Amino acid sequence: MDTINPLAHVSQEGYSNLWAWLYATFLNGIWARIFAAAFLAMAFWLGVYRRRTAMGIVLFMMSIVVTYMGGMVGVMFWWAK
Amino acid sequence: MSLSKDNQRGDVFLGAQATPGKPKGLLDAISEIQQYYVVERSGSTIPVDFFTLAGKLAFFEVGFKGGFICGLVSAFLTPVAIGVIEKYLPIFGSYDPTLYDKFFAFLIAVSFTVGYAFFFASLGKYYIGEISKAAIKNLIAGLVSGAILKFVIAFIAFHFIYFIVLEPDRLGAWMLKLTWLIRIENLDRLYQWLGEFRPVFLTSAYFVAFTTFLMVAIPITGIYMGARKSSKVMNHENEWK
Repeated sequence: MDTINPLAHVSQEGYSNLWAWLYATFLNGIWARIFAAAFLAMAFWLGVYRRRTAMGIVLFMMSIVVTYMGGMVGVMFWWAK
Repeated sequence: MSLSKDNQRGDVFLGAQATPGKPKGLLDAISEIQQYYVVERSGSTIPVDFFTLAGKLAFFEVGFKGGFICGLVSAFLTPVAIGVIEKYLPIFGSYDPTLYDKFFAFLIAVSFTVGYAFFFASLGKYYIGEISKAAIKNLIAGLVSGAILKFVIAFIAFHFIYFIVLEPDRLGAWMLKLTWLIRIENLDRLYQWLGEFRPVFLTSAYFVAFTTFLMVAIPITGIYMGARKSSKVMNHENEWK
């Protein structure tokens, strides 16, 4: 089971830093804004113009996740305080 | 389309579709309308009775489901967007939204409705023959009915939340029952936050009216414009014949 434990491969600090980097890159700040806008534009392009409804809905949901998940994570930390 | 076992010479038997004129989803409905359009565009006439009452109801049902479900998604996202604009909810990890953030929250709230409405609006191109028109009319009638029902439900639900669920005395009494689960300091902060967030539901109720208007206006305008364009193209083609 140690093989799938990430702490067997990286230090705890490195692992925490990885999650902090992922949070800062995808759910917070300028990159989150760019990703969310790109997902929404692609949702329109594929869902409406190309009529690939399922892909459109998936991309729309991804856009919602990127837009609001950063705040949700913040609320979870606030709650746990 | 099926190939008879007894006939091995390559003759193809064109079998009828299992349930003609009874689409199960929006894509089915659009595909059927495209088929009617191709037949009617080529000059062939389809008897009006081809479009049965069950067929009309099926198109209405598809439109109704679409208008209702899509509207509910939008109605759910509306208080979130207004909460962001009023700085009660975070967006992109921040409680201090920029102008872009506010615009994006608004865009997310209306985009599902707008996208779905544009999907319907693209049918204008096919609005030419009797059967195509009847199918599109039933689809749009369903969409409008679904959108209006959604508006009524969302409007009542938001007012119910404002006047009944989040009424300060009642909310306080409910929250006191949760002290075994949540620490009192957190309950107090939650109570304060819900009290401040409460008016967002009233704003949302009226914002849903705006999204419902978009949901109805975009397809009708799109179909009207598409039909005019198709009609012009056909007139030009007739002149050149």
